[in-house]
Amino acid sequence: MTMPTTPARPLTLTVNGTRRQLQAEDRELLLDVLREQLGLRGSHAGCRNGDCGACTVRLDGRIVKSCLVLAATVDGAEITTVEGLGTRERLSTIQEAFWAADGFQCGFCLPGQLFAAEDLLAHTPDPTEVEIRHALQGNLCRCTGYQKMVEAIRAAARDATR
Amino acid sequence: MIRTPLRLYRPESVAEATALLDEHGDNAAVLGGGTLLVPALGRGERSVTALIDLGALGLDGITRENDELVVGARATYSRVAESRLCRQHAPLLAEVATRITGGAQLRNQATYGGSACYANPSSDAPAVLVALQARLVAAGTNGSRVIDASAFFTGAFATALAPGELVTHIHVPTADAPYAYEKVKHCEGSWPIVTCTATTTAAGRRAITLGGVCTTPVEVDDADGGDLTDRIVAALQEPWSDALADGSYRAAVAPALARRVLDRLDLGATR
Repeated sequence: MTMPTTPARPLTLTVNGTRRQLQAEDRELLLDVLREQLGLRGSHAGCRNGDCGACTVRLDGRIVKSCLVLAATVDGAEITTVEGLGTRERLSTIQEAFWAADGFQCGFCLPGQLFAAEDLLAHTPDPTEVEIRHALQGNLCRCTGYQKMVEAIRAAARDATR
Repeated sequence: MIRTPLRLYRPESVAEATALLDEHGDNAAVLGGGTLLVPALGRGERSVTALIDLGALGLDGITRENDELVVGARATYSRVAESRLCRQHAPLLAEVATRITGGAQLRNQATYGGSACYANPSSDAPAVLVALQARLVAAGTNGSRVIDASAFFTGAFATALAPGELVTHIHVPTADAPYAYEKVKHCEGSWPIVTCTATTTAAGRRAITLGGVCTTPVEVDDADGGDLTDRIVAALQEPWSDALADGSYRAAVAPALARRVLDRLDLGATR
């Protein structure tokens, strides 16, 4: 079955520091534009309902679930995806902490967890365990039981505030 | 991707927005934070050809006008939670905003205005707006009208908005009276099953507002003496059932939650 289409409109997004010009239909999700048009497959499509958080990106300084955002509504925005957090050779502080503490298993939810953790530490440099768990509320993980994630975030905070 | 084609409109004035809504009628939906509408469109539960995005209307602000706060329909929960005005003059509104399910992401995207218009009985916003005696400003092609929150919610997923109307602002009376708020939910990622607000009225009476128990918020106060819990039980004749919980459970848990919240109010706790 072919899907009916509508004309695409031009959009400009600054993604991981690079200005990207693209065309997207009004009905396209930011998540799908990032993954399919820009090839940034690190933002994962889990539930497409705003529950799981695997599609989390930073949009104009705030973390959002990109499955809930229509790309056409964020023309001109600045976006950071997990590809912009660190590189294979040089992980970000929070990536390093998750790596060191075994803070992930299958890794599907990891991009979203990293953004949630980073957002927490940006606002609360020395969080309590309750604050850490509260910050992970919007990100589901079916492997770890969250304990190692909490430890990773606590370690990252300890290193940063030492 | 949403399966059916649609066009996004991004009006720059309320008049333009209401004209578009009037023009497209049932084929249009109003897009606020998108957290409820976008996935519903993706699943095909809703299908429209026109989306009217409130994002360019400048409705994301929070201001004070005399003895009221005016919260724009597009102000996110994060914005409300961080607002000095809200924390100071409508602390219940700010506190509940910090405790909306879905993580910081959801709170950076979703709004009281959107949740009010969706009118899911199992959500925080309706009963909190009723408890605060908020008023919603509904704009249509013939101008704006103000609707009391207690009259705005007319049923499950139903509001007093007429076809062609959209909410632009929520007016919340400033208050520094003590309050307490609690909700029952069985996991962190759940919609609330029952919410309960206890407030102290200007006349010094204790008032309870329950959300999630019936299709619309239930208000009970101790105006003429008598036991509040008995009154709550009497008020819950037709409890609401959904996939989360049966009505009988909601009706059973509501008085217990109310007692807990009243205890906190009496102890001077603010949550």
